[in-house]
Amino acid sequence: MTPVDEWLQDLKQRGIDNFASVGLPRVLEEDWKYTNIQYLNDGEWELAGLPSNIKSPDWLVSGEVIRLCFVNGIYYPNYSELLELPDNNYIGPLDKALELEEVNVKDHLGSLVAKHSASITELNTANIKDGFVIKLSKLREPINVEILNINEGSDGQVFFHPRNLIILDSVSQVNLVERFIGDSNNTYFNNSTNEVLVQNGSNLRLYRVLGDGNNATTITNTVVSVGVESVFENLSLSHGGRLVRDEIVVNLDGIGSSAKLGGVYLASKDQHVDNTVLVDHKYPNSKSEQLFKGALAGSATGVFQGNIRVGENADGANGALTNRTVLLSEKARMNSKPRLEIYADDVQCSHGCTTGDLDKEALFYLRSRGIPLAEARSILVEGFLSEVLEHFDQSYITGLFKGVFDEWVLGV
Amino acid sequence: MPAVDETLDQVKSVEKYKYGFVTDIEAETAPKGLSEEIIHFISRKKNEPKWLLEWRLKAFERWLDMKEPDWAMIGYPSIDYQDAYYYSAPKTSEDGPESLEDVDPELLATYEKLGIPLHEQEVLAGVKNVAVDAVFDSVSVATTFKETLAEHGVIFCPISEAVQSHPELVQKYIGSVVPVSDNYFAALNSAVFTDGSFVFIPKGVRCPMELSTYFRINAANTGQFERTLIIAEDDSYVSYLEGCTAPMRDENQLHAAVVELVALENAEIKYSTVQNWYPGDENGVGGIYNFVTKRGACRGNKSKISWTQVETGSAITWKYPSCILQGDESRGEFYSVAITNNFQQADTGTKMIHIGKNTSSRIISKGISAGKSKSTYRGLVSMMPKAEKSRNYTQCDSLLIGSECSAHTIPYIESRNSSATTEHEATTSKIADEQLFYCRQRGMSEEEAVALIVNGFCREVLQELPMEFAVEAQKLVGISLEGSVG
Repeated sequence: MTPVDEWLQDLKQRGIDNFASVGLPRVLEEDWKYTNIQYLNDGEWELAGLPSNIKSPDWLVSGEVIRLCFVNGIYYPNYSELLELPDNNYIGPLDKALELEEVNVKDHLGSLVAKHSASITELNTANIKDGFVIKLSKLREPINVEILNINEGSDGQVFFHPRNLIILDSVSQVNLVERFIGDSNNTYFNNSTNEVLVQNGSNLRLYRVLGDGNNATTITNTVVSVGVESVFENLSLSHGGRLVRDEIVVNLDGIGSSAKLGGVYLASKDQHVDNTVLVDHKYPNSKSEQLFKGALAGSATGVFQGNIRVGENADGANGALTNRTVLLSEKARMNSKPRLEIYADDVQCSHGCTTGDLDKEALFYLRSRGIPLAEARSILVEGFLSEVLEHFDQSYITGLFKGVFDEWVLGV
Repeated sequence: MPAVDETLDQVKSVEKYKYGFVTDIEAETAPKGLSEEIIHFISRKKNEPKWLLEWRLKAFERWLDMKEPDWAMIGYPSIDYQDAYYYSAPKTSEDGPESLEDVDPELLATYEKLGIPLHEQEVLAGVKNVAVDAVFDSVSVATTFKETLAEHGVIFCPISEAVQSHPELVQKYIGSVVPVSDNYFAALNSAVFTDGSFVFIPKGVRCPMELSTYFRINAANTGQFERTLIIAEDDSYVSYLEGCTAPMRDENQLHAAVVELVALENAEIKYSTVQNWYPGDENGVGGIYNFVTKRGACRGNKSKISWTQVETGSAITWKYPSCILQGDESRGEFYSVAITNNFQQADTGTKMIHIGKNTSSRIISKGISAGKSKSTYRGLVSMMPKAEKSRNYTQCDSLLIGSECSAHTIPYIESRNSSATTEHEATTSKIADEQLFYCRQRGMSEEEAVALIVNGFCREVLQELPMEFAVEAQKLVGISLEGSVG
């Protein structure tokens, strides 16, 4: 066994021990008050293997782009397209990164999540197998990366635990699209964890699409540390899965660091969608923005928990948080918990939160111009949600959103 | 600029905690500690019927099984519930004073000093048109204007008296809004409550004057556990105010009250609090631990309950006045100013539970933290499935003065009805340098400028107070922030 193997073995063992001592989170825990995942305790779960036939991928980003494909959480080189990068830079699968000394996965993997220890990330650590690693330094040119996760599941209950590591150092820039797609009705549990380090004037734009299959449970944890004068942007579009919990923890760990987080969530039938965000301002003049909007139909349940924390040293912090939800049916429900936790005095922080139906007057306006009710509602909902996208300027995201939204509206 | 002058005058008249004196009066106390015997002792003292004793014992039994809540953002050394007196009453010759003449002059002097006149003729002379129930440690010592109120059919008396004179009303409503096992402190209160006010407004009556209870903790090592019950029958109206003070002592004293309001069809209850318990000194020594459960039920259609609170005192405040909006078109309001300075900690807010159709609620909360204090707004707005077309508007603003204090906002918004609308806004900031500079430029001291700005910040809430108390509250704002700048 090599030293790296030994280290990984230890790390996984710690994950196993830590998870065994606490188990899955319960609704009695404040952070899980509105989302119950205890049903995952029913029955046995097995690590997923590759399905017999794998559909060919439809890539979203064109032009010069690095593509990595995972099927049921397993790296699938046949569909991946890697590019040559200058020395000391790496974009590729986790297992290869572990072998490369210059990538030095050892120093970073597990270090960020350790500060925000949650049982669900411990479960991920216990099962580390595949994932991707991005490590860039001093590459001024923006790099485009697309990660496609084709999640099919299989007969019986299977789970997989993608573990990804992103390190951007010294003025590196990455546009990263991460997609989960699943068309099957199989029962599977996708528990993905991202550890992200953006520092010294670097910039990461992360676009995530959570579209797992009808009976899937998707839990993602993204733990980010943003350093001096660096920027982290995240846009999540969540529309699939039986239960989705998208949790993002952003530590603003440097002077002048900033984070922009956006989210659009669509849910219908008995879907449950949970967006949980913590932005922790630890240094002066840090800035954060959060805008989450969603539409709930059927008997869907939405959850939004947003927290802005400003530490004692973070003078000059500026934080804003907005959550707006439209309830399109009688049985849809929304629980929202926007928090401010302020320990410094020279700050400007605010949050706003609304829940309600579509604007009656706007609806009347459209109908009086001969637009049928269903179409009028669809126009209004789309307009309402598009505000989030306007904050992020990537053309392929708008196109993708349009496609996802149109399909969703048909089913409502 | 008269408004500025007014504020300046008020700031100048600011004194340190002026209610911190101790009245030297002989008191009768129960033995220290909490046990079934003590509950029997209290019940015997009050000559209570059997059902009430059993009710207390049931609450005590439940309390023993409960755990002290730890979710609030407050920290304090664990309370030794056996190291306190649960009953303390000024000694009187007879069972109780029949009229004001029988009241110990020492007590009257105490209330005089607190600015609460108990002599009716003085009140009639136009000082204040308010009926007062004065509660001293565990008992009510005097209630004014009882006769005038009785002419209108209004019952306003200590709850221990109401248990004797109107047992059917007390039995019907007590514990119906806050059940005995609602929470740890409510259960404790149910077991050992000693006095408090009882108000009953009959059908169609608009209470002719403001009602007020003045709570005073005097004895050392004593907890105060009062219970207030207000019932407004159909088409009635009442405005009720409570005030509280305590001597300056180095030990912490426990205050765990329960307030229950019931508003029937088309009735309105306006409940205002100016809470000025001793907050502890500038090093955080002493002060009252204030754990209070307040809840109102809008049972009838078109009923309305409005809570207004000015929280300036107490070392710890744990208090969430709530409204259960059961009746259709009922309305709940919550206006709050919470000021913390030095080492004070406040975790306060409200709950609005919308059950009926077309119900509406409004929450305006202003938190001001200075020194090393911590202030938290914690609130719940819940739209139940049948709360069609209900509305809520919430606004929480926090102001930070100084770099060592903290302010938190933790709202919970749960909507289960698509036609209901909830709106929530919150901000946290400090006093802008430009505002301060503007005032300083015009010759105001820094402290005066801060008091002026803070008063403007809370005006929206202060103006909801009955007029007589609004001025008092404005002064309190200045006093509470003393020493927080410079």
